[in-house]
Amino acid sequence: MKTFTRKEFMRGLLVVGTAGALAGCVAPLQNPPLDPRIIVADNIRGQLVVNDVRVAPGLSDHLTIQATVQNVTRSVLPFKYRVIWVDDDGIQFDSLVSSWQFASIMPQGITSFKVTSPRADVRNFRLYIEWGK
Amino acid sequence: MKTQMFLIAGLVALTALTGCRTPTTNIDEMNDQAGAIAGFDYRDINRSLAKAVNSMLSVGRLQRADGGRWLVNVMPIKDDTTSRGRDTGALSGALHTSLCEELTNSGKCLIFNPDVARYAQTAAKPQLVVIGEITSRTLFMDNHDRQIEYNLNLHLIETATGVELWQKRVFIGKRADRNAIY
Repeated sequence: MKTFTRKEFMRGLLVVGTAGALAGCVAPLQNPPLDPRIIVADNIRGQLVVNDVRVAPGLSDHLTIQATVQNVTRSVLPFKYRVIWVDDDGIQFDSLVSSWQFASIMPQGITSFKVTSPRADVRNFRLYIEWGK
Repeated sequence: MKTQMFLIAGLVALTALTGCRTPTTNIDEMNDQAGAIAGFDYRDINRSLAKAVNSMLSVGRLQRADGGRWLVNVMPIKDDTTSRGRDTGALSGALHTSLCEELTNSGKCLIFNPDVARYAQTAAKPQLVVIGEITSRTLFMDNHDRQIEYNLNLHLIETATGVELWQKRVFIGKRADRNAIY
């Protein structure tokens, strides 16, 4: 059985420690490749991850979008969101429904929010998420 | 010499005072970065109505089997907030007009105007009525700061039967300094 000198032992310990530290420094959780209609501002990217977005008519003929977002930080994360609804030609509808709404997520928490389209004939949307109080 | 000193001091004071003035700016409704205020401002009107309209449209109670539109009488929103004495009618009017606008734009409703209908030769009868009020309540926190709770309550009622098809309470809460004016 091979015996190690104190110097070799310390060098090995350093290698193992560095490897451990590097493993701990893996790239932080990022937003997955998202639908281009979902725009997450730079001031919150890396702190908030959009886990899921789905659009369905639900109980009415108006589309409802539901987004599920996760706070990946260790502090309460305030954010705001708005959904712009557009027609077939990409022209947006002016509506109070597209006003900024404010919310916050507890550390490491997950939350969902829903927005219903102002008209039944909307065809598409753009979801904006920004940091905000 | 004394007069000159007074003049210089006056100029310095004037410059300092002028420098402290907040320049007048226009509000960009879509990108307003100003902090929240204790009162119920236009952002709160938009946010609260957006939540209410979202709820009303998502439950599908405005869908008609024949694809037609409802004739809706939107009653004036009763302003029962504590700030009603200062801007009488402004909050109520803004809520009323914005709600009418959203209902019209939804493609599901036409708005009934009772003031004009009384002069009409063949007055239509509204099939639905929206009744609403906004209230505020001020509570004091342990440190004597204020907690202001605004509630926008809306009810959609079928006039023929009195059946309430939809109702919603939208809460907008604020915490502010004990000296905050609202």
